[in-house]
Amino acid sequence: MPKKIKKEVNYLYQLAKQGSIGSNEFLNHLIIDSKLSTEQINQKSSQDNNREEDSFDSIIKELYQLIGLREVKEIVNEILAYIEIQQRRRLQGLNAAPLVLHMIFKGNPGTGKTTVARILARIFKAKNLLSKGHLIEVERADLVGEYIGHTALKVRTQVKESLGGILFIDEAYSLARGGEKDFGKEAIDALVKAMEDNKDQFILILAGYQEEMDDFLKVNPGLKSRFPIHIDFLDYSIEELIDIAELMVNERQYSMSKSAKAKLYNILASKRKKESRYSGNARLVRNLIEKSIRKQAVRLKEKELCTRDDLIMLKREDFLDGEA
Amino acid sequence: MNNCILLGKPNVGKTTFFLSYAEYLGVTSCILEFENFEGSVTRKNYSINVARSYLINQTPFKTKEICRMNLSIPVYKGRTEITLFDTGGLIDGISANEIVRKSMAEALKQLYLADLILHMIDASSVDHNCCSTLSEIDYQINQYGHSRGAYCILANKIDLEEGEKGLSFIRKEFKDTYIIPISARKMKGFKEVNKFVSRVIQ
Repeated sequence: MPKKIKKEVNYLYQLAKQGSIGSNEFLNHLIIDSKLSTEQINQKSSQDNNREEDSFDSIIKELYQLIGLREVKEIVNEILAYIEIQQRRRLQGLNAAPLVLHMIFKGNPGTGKTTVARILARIFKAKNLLSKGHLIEVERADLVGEYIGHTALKVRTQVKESLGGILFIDEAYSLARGGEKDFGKEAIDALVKAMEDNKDQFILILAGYQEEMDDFLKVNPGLKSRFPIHIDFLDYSIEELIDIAELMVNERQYSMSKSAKAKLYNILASKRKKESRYSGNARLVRNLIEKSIRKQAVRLKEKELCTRDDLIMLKREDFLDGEA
Repeated sequence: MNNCILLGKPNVGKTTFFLSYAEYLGVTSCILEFENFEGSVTRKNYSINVARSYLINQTPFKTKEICRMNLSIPVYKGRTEITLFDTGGLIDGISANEIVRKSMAEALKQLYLADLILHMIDASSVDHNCCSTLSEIDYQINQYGHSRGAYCILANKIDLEEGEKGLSFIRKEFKDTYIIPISARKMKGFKEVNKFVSRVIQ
């Protein structure tokens, strides 16, 4: 996007102010200007088309840089190998199974489900499996209608929007909640139909908590067979959380002292004992760190002179009351 | 920072949309920044209702200065800040009035700087011949918007009787443009606008 005002535009602006040219002429100039610049961009992009390959590697690298998630990475690897081999088989004229890549993500909040889905969308785009590679994130309210016939319409529009990308339904089990008269069931039926109708054009990912998703699939046995790929997002171990913390701290150009790390370990361990479900997640770590950064700021404010190291280092006392 | 600009002919309801959309996003009192032609900025703090009675009027060219407001739009689970610009109306040719001329030049300059273009058309008056009727400049904005990418048409006033007919006319005229039917006064269609904006700026 052009950010700086070109001289030309400024000149036109002056002329329009004086009344020497009208609005139509001004706009005409703008149209021609932007057409020229898009042509230039097009030429450039055709020149470095081979950068696409690089970007695939960089996306994969991004995935591998995520801490933990060993199982997820393995499965992604499997899928990629599978895609590759199916494509090669097709080249040899062998029967190739159609690629069904609808997935179910199970895991507690803050274990990286959305992050992974977004990366997957880009990977599939780089592999030419998806034409656009965008991610549409929806929840129950976006799919379930208020009156009879409304639901199918809503589902259809969401599917239409996600064609060429991934439709990510967060907390999908809530579709089956609410008894017989609930329209959630209708939404499931409509989704199944859409999956059949637009087989290769989009990927559906259902995400939710482990237990609720298991119940959900039990209630709808037809669903399970339509989603060949199940990925469990395990809670992070405390060591992994510490690694994540370090990454976050470094990103913000801070660093933690050893005793601060130990303190953080203690906090996370006691959290895990108290409430198991919400403890294993990266969001908690982020909150703790942001809190400690604020604490550090308060501590340093009272000091008159602080060195560069002071500004960077998060100390044990910054984490002290972090239990809340 | 994403700059999002609202523009269109006079009296199509740009300012009404500007304020209603802010209200829809949960803003109850807005800080408006008016930029006058010399480039100096005045900040004013109004509640939405007061701003409405103050800024909206039946007469065309009520808005003369560029007026901007910072809004936060929900994107996925987070929010993103955008700046929404409200501009004075655009008409064809050279206006005899100096203030209108300046306001149009300002609007077009902002159009050049904007990242996202919302082009407002009055759907209820396509058959009439008044100042908000579709004209040459709308086609030009359409052409320009297309070459820029992040662009859509807001067909306003669909709550009026003739809105429906006008909408189908606009659909026919601008076939390959994304058109969102809205009613700025009755706050219809804002969800789609929200969706479009969040999709474009993410």
